Amino acid sequence: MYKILIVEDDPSIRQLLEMNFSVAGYQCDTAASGKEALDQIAGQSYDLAVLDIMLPEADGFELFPHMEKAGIPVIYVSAKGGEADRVKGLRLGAEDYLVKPFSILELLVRMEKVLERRNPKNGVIEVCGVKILQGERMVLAGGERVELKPMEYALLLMLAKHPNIVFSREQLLNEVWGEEYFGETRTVDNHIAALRRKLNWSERIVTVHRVGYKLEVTLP
Amino acid sequence: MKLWQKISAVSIAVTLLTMSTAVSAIIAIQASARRRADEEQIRSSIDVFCSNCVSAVSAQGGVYRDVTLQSMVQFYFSQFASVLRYENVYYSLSADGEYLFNLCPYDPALLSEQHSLPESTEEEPYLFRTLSEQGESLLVCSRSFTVSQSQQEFRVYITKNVSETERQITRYRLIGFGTLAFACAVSALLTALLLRSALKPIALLTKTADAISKGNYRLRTDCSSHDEIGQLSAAFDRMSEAMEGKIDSLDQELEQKEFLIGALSHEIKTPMTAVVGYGETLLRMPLDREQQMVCAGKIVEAGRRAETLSRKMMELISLTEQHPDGKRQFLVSGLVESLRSVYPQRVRFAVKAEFVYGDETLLYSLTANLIQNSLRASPGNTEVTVSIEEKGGFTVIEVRDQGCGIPPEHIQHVTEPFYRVDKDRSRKAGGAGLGLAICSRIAAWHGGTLDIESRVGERTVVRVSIPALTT
Repeated sequence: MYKILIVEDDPSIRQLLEMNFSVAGYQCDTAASGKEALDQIAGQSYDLAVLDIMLPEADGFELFPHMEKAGIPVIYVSAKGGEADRVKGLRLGAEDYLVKPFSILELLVRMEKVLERRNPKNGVIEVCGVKILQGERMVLAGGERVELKPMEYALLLMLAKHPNIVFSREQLLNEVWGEEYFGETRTVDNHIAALRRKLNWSERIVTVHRVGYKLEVTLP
Repeated sequence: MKLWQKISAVSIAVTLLTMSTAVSAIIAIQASARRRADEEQIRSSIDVFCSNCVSAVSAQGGVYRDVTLQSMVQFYFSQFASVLRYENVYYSLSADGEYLFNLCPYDPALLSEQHSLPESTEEEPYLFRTLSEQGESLLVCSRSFTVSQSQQEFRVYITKNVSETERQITRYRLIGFGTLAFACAVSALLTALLLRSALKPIALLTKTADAISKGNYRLRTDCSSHDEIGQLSAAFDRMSEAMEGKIDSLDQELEQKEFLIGALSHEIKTPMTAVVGYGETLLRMPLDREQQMVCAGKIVEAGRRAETLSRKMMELISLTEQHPDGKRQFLVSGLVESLRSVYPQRVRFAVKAEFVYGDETLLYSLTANLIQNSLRASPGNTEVTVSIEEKGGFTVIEVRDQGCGIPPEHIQHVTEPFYRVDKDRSRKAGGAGLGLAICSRIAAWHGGTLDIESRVGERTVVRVSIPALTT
């Protein structure tokens, strides 16, 4: 389980991040000021830090060198949306820079990409009788190999990694096909249909009315 | 062509025309007078010759032969001529077209060329001619006469060298027109110089207006002359002054508005992030019942915060804009009553004034804001004191608490919009960071001041002084 450090001075946003990260399966610690954050990283190690920029005592930019020294990748979440600040954050070496108000799901996906890149795992994901062997890029359903097209595979990974989370079609299009892809949301529907058919998941992949899709998994 | 050039040219032309007409007229009158004088002299001389010859011959009596008469006339004539000797005047005599003698240094044939002349008459027996000979101007006059009963016609010629007169006239002309030219040149120079210096402020005015239109609003003409152009410059300066003032106040207003909008858009981001974040979480994430309730609660809280923010913001903006002048004299007791009903506990009112002059709604808002701040800053059940009294022409509203106080380095900033001494606590207590900004603006709107006196951990006193109505 990954450990995330949340540094945010506004209590309601701090709580928002904490709640979402926990639900997404991360372990989190929080800090309300720059100084608290420094105390936290002195005591233990983290896989990722989500930092606000305007913080009491020491701001997000000042914290960066300490994070870097401790080997903690940083994602900035700030109300400062100006180009200068974004460039400054990214130039420092931050993994990403999201401007408030931001989308929680987008933040979760960005975090996951960072974590995966930092901790390459040729892991095996198993959900609802389907085994995804990431190292071999192979999918087995009931022991049988299922042939998936590249985009179907990517979509399956996205859903399987975030069970029970509802994605909108646009989000899936953005995260799986990439932002440069100017496809229609229909493309997503077609690939979902293909996954349902090939994996026999017509019950598992649930259409949430007016929102999107989620992979429904009964948690133990 | 510049204006001064135009005016100078026109005035020079007019002067030249009138002066030259006048000078020509004077010279013409002078010339004709001189010529007439010459003619008169000759005329009278001729008459003298004729009558003397005639009377001298008649006095002899008797009848003579023509030849004898001729020699007699010749004799008397030469006698008279030797007596009447004038400079440049010569006498000649002819009889029946033949010269009897000629005292003139010029060819006598020249004198008698008569063909172009009108016939002499009884009234005007003189024949005048002007001649030009050897570079000299000659005035020739002749008159015929007869002696006794003889049919023989004698003719007297008087030739006067009038070169001197002509030269004199030419000299007059030279002097007259020379003086005229000189006077014109001098007057042209003076006119041009005067006009240039008189019109110089106009060039300055143009330059200044150009500079102002390019954005240099501070420029003035500072013209010192007192004529119409000076008055125009002064009026222009007054206009620039007024314009600069207006532009400054507009700039200031704009700057303030931009600052407010920038601050607002930043301030609104926090509650918006919460609303969007919790909303999205509710919608997308697999949450249990308790977590869902937390999310819903947070959304409501953030919404309230945004609502407070926008309400306060509107209050502040409507104060920055022209607030309708609702100032009037009203009873302090009414204001205190409505405040007391909103803050029934922990607030003590000490009222020593009867009337306040101002906008009741705004002053209520000001006092309520101050009370709210004090209550937020005060722990437990300490009291907040509101006193209203009149002091030296001012109505002083004072709100005093025994709360946490404001650190001295923050005092000068607390009236700035969105400035917070303690960000966290202020938000938790529901503040938008605009209360004191609104209060100081209300005080300023009334033409008054807002002062803060504070000691950390002991007390804060906010004192608002606004001018009282002087009777």
